[in-house]
Amino acid sequence: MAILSVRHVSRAFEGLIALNDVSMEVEAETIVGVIGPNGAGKTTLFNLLTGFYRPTSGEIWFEGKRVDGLPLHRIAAAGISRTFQNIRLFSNMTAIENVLVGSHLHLSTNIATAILRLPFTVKQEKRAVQSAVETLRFVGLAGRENELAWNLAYGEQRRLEIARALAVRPRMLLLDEPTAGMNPGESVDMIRLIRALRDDLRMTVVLIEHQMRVVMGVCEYITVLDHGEKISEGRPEDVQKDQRVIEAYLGTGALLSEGAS
Amino acid sequence: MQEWIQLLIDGITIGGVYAVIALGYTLVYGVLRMINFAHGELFMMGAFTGYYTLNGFEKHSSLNDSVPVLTIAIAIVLGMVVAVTLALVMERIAYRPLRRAPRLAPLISAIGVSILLRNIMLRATNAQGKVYPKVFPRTAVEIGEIRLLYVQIFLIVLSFVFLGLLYLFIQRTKAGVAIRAVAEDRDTASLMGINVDRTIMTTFAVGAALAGAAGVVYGMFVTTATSGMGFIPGIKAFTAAVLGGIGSVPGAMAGGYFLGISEAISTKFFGAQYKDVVAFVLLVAVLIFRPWGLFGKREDKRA
Amino acid sequence: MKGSGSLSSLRAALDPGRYWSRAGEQLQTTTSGAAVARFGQYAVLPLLAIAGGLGPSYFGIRWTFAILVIVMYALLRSRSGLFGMVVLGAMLVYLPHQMDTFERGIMFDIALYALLGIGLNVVVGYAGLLDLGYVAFFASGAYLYALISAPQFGGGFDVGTSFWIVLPMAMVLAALVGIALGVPVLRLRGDYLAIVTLGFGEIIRIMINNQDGVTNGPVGVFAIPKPHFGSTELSGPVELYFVVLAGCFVAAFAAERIRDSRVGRAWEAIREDEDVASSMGVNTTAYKLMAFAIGAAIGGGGGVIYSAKQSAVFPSDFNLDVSINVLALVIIGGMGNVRGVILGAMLLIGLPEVLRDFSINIAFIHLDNLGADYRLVIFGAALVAVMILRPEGLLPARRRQAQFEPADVLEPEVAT
Ligand SMILES: Nc1ncnc2c1ncn2[C@@H]1O[C@H](COP(=O)(O)OP(=O)(O)O)[C@@H](O)[C@H]1O
Ligand SMILES: [Mg+2]
Repeated sequence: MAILSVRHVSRAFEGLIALNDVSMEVEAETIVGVIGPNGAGKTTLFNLLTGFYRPTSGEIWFEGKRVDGLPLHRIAAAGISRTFQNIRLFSNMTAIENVLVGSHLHLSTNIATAILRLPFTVKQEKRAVQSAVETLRFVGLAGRENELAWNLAYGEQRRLEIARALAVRPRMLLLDEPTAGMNPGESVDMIRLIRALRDDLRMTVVLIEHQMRVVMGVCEYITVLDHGEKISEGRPEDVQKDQRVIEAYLGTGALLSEGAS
Repeated sequence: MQEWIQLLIDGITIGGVYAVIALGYTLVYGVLRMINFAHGELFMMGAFTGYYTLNGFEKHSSLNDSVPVLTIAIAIVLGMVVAVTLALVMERIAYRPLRRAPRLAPLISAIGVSILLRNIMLRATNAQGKVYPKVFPRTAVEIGEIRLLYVQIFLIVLSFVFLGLLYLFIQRTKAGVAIRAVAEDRDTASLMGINVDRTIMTTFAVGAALAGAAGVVYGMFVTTATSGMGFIPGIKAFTAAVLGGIGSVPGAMAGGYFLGISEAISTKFFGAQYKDVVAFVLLVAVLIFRPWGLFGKREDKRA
Repeated sequence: MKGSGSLSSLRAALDPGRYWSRAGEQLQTTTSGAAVARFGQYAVLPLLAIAGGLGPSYFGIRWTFAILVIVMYALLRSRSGLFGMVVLGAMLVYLPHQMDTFERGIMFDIALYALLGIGLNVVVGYAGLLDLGYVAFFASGAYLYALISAPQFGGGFDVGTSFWIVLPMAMVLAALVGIALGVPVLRLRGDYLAIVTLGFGEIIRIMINNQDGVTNGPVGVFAIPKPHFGSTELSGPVELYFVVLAGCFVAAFAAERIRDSRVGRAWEAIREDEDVASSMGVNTTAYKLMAFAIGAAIGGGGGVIYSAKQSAVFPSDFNLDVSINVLALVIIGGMGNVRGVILGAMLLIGLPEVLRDFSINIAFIHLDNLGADYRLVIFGAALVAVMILRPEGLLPARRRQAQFEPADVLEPEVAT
């Protein structure tokens, strides 16, 4: 059964229709790519899935629950987590603190227990730290725990965003251009990481990606958006041959040059 | 009926003041996304300038009696000059260095400027209010039970004039277009060759000029200038700007009159001592239920 | 990674000196260099204080200044906080016995404002909510105690014990007021929130002023009884000073512990990026309300003590200036940091009293009664200056003690 079901979702901004009647289904434990030229509406789709925007019309269902219109934190609690195209870390907090914020839902400390600092609380916090360290190591940030987020290198920041999202322990993870601004070596690491998310953590991953090499390399299923419409979907090799996709990318050259390289 | 007309006229009088001050908030907010907390103090400084000017004429000449139009005009112009100068100085010193700082920083800085100006004037005047010389006859036009002071008519007319001039300035002049462009998108405006620093200064200057002028006229209306006089009208004007949808010029004008009239009418029901409460309640209600303003369009909260 | 590398970065992250100056940062390459740099930086403040203390006014001010110097030294110096706290505690307990009534009054004011600052700091410093109406909670506490205990309203409570009952009641009441005010406004963006809270503060004052039937209006409430502790009446400034002091310690302890927990982390995340915090599962409205309620409770408690100390309260005691004083001391002292708040209270509340009749005569500038008349002028200028030159305040928040010790990595459990 599909873990995510997007049903006839539209979103308009003051006349501009950023998404128009888009429907899609995502199977559990798959890696799905969302591609399309700049301004196609990919990030808008993520914003709708995570509650940053409400759809103008349409419904979003996740694991049999309707999630559109829920407040952000309830969507996180429902099991969806994300990263951001323009990195949005808590930049004056350390790497490990960023991850610990991600584990917020899995801790229970409240004002009273915080003041009393009960053994139970201390233990729970210790475990959270432990697992944050693990998570950081998982994304390749071992040893960077106490670095302030804004002091991290660009690629590290992207990975920290993933670590923070993982700490939410989502069942579906949305990655918005995880390899943007990375060199080929870093991109390869990222692909490996994304695969591990699914293979080791059994997560469903949806990613927005421009580099065709990454898309073709890691995605099992692809949805193509253009001008807010879904113009194609299917397995990577099929989508690549789709006439409408080629037209949408015509002139951008992205599909040809990067696909070939 | 006559009572209602009286309330309406009183509302329009004070509403005009709010509208003129509100423009300063709305313009600055438009370009900087910042509430210039010290804007009400520019109004106060205008009122003091008006007092010192008119008092000077009173003491050293008889011009106030022979050509009051001239002395009043001079007072207004000087009030504008002082307010503009102060606004440019505060922009340069207290706000510009914080343009890329976290959001609260310029706000706190503005609160600092506001406290500073208010207390400098408190010291400078030894905590004594300054009473304006009688330039306007304190006589009134009376129609039935409706009373309308001359200075009130002057105030009403003048606020219309200022609002009209500002509207033309924003719509028709190059500087006005630049202000609108920066308000729309600072970075794009900068790419299109608009000098953003200069435009921000123009915005402060225009807002301050209006506040300074309003201060002088309001001072003549209430006949005293005190160091604290900018505070409540400042908050009210901000409320007006919010009512009209902050960032919107026509909204601020409409909001000013709306607030003035609501306040005047509320005095009939709750008494004058709750006037300020009414304004605050309106402010809170609008911020909660229609944060984009009574007249504005809804915008998405999150970018 | 290399353990030593992460250890040194941990140290760097914990080092307050890092924030102080670039020169200090460079010097920190060697330990002795760091010590020299730190000494250089910290010596300035006591020297300034001593210079001020030797200045022209003399009603025993030296004591106040001695405290200032020693406490600041202790606060700045101590890394663990323990040494500083012990010295601070000893001084704060001992010094008032050496003082005259006037000076004790100053000590009381400093402590009271420090208490209010600790409360407001939870709201502004931890959660990043700019509250300009903090006086509302202070006023609720003060009037609650006044109305319940003053004879002109029947004084229904047993006067001897009512204080200790009213104190928690007032804290709960203030917290409820905080939540009631917070619910509608906490969805607002930061700068709107500032104006709206300011409005609430004013509304509360106007209400107290106009509801004569309930509050006796501008005439005020008189003959508010003093609290008793056992059979002793806590009547003088020293006794009540100790009550506030105890309040400060409890509030500071609680506030810092909350800050160092999941709750504090959530606040910090909200301060950094509210939407993202929410997207990570933080119920931002609830957490903001929590901050508001805690801050309000502390303010309400402060109000009760104030009411008891003054014996009479008037609506005019609760004007905007109170909110601004507290905000200024939090920001200037160092947002998000109890030590900063204490320093802020000393400088902003204590110093003006010390300099009450201090005069400046330089060339054509003659400023008399500097502390009394110009304190708000100076506050205003200081707010601007701090925002521009040192946005984190004089004593910036130390990086939280890292929850992570490098040793933790050595024996990782298998991730489940
Ligand atoms: N908050 C917003 N307000 C107005 N327009 C928006 C907003 N968010 C996105 N858009 C518009 O929607 C369209 C799709 O944007 P986006 O989803 O970011 O595209 P992309 O596929 O590159 O991620 C663009 O034209 C963009 O300008
Ligand atoms: Mg995008």
